Amino acid sequence: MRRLALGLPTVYQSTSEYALLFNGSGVTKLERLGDRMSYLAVEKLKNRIWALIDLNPALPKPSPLFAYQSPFFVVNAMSPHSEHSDLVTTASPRMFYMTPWSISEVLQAYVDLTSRGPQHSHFL
Amino acid sequence: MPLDDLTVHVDEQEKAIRELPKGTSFEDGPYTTWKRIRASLWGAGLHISERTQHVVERDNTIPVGAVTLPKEHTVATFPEGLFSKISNILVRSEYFEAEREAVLSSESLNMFVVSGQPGVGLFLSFSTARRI
Repeated sequence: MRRLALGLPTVYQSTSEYALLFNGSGVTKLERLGDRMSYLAVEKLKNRIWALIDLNPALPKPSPLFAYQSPFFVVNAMSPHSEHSDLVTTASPRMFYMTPWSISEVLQAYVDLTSRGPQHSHFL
Repeated sequence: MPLDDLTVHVDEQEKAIRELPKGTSFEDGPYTTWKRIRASLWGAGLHISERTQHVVERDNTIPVGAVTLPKEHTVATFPEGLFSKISNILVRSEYFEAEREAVLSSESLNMFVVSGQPGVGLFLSFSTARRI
């Protein structure tokens, strides 16, 4: 969201069927996710466009376009479970581990949820 | 280098994007949620992270060398009507640490991985942050 707020072109993928490109022209659906040749124009960039990949049960591994040596700079958000070990060993990415929720964060979420009522049932 | 500094490369990136095969534009199609998200956020500045409702110092700290940094989180509010059921986001200090590390990595690496936080890798509806 910070990238969109800054007006930075950004790719986002959370399902294996397609990815979304947010840029100055709007939102575009990218479908040729196995065809790197179609993306040579962005591969030549010195400062690559970021692709934010939200790995989840509907997208257990990145599409070929966002895997090893992608033309994009790929940021994967994923669980630390062993099914992702291949990704880590083949791509040798830099890893960043966040700490578990603290008690103050859990309490913050609880207070916020209970103060807003049932119409606001989610809190990211 | 903060994320903001990357805006100097936008023109060059937009030029490269125009050379890509034309995809399916959502301007006149479905996926209105994505269009609404973009319309609400695009180029709107950093007001999302600045609209803080609460600041709570966290009870845990992380040692960095000889210095102990306090960790805190904030609660930011989404633009009105962005999501139907989600109005707030808990902004952890780790998010900014991860962002800083990702920006640094983007200069020399192809991939960056964020993991560890309970809920990462799950559908949003199964997130640990959902009220149960």
